[in-house]
Amino acid sequence: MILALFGFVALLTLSFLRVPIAFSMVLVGFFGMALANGWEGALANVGQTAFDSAINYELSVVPLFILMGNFVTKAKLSEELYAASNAFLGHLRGGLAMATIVSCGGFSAVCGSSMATAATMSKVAMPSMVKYGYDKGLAAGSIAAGGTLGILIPPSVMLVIYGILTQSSIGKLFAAGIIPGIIGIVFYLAAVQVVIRINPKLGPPGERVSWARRIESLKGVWGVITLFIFVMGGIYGGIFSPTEAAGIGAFGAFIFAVSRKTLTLKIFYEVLIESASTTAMLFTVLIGALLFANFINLTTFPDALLAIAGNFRDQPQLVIIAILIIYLLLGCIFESLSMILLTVPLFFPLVQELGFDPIWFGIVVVVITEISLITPPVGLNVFVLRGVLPDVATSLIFKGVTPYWIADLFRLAVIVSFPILSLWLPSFVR
Amino acid sequence: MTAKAANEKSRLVSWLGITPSQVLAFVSCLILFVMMLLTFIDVTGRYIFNSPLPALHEIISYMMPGLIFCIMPLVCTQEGHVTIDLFDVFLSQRLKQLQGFVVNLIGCGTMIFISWRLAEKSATHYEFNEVTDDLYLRIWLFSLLMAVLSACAAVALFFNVIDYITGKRKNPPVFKTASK
Repeated sequence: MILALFGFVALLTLSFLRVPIAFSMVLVGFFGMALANGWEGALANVGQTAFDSAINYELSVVPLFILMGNFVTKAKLSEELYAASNAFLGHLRGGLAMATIVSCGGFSAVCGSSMATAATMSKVAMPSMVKYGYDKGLAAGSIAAGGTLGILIPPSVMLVIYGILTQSSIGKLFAAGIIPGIIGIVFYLAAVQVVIRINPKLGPPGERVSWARRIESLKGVWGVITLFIFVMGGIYGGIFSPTEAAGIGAFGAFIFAVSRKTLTLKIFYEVLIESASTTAMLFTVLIGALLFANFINLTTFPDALLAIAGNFRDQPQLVIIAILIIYLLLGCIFESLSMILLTVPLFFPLVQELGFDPIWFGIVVVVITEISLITPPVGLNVFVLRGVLPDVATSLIFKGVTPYWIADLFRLAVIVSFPILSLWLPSFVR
Repeated sequence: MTAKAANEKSRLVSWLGITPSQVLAFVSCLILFVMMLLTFIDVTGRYIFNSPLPALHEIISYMMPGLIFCIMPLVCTQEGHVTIDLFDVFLSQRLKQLQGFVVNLIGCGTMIFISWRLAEKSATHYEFNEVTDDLYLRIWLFSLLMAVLSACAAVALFFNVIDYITGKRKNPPVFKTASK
């Protein structure tokens, strides 16, 4: 127990000193295992874990979904999505912010990454909102928050990682993410309306568009819809495995980008480099996290946690609330992937022991990770916006995003309280 | 340092650090693209022509380490790993440079360590003559390749250390998140 706590302190100290989280986890994991179980086992474990993590068919779904997201981003499908949402919502007060959120939701259906969604949508939505005199905080906040939907609405790289860590069906996890994702959109739209009611000047209405043009604008989104139906329908109907769906999705997105002439040779190479780099970064964290988890499993820490949880067998909700609070706090500091990889191996046995559904817990973890992407001081989506919009102060974006993460807390409460919202669709997956 | 010596050093860095990183990154990209094509061909082959690619699971599994480890030197050169840069604002310029030096040194040590463990793993694979299930590929070749590529990543990190000593790099970069 003491050793595990020292391990956590060492990990946090190294990470705060800016040692890459992956390397911190490798080092602490190795020395921890050596102290807990001898040097020989620890040395063998490092080679074995690095080898096994890299040579893994199941995990090949990760680079392929990342590639798909990056091709989709370059195919500029985001522009049509925004135009269509704008045609329907833009004339309302706060309508452009609402259109931003809806198009972020749509983009999330073909892109598995929150930060890519935020970065892509910011280029499309921000100029329009600035043109209509939107408050920059509200505008940037709606993009940062809307972007978080990327990891919940399938395909989602985070859900894939969770599925592989916990041996849960990725197809079911994807299906489970759809309704909570839609609830997320609805709650964000409500948040915009609340903000606008309080101060209408923050989001003046845009132009009203005729119904003929609205219908016309819908034709532009067929690309996104086709890709989504193909990939998700394939998994949902049991036609493709997730890896196959990812490969097909990436190929489809590639064809879209080529046919729309948005893919020069230079951009094509950039997409591949970006996707491969992200994959390598992700796998390094994965190897580190597995080593760290192996170390923790050699200590008495997991048993102690289970024993504590056992005391609450009559009120398992209290354990879930405690886990949620830990996640909210960790989310303020940790990057999302590292947080999931560090905590899921610890909490998952607890959650299973208490009889909760693994698929539901996966959705809860991802929703809470979404919140971590927009909460200060380390809200990665906010930092993405800061990078794309250098003239908007970080503090202003954090201020603009506040109504959204309050909405997220409500959404979290709803999803935790009503597991059926996450578990209904997966019951149809073959 | 004279101009000639500086020039030679930068050529050395280019030959040992930057050029191999870029060549390997190209290989990684190629693997990724081929992986996508193979998956597509396999699925269309299976559903349209009723003939999937044989042993594709195994081929893709063994392409994965190539994809991951070939790009690793480039990720290391660009200091692209996930970091917590929460306290950057509190550090002076000199401390940042010192931090960059220490962090890259630790990273270099870790990659050497991983490379060593993978080399040991490869030796075990070789000793027991382990082969893959379908295509009977020799597994030691893959583990050795992973070890060598990890060593390349360690070299890339070592050049970062030198850059921080000479002052060519002064600040560890802000964690780039847009593609993640």
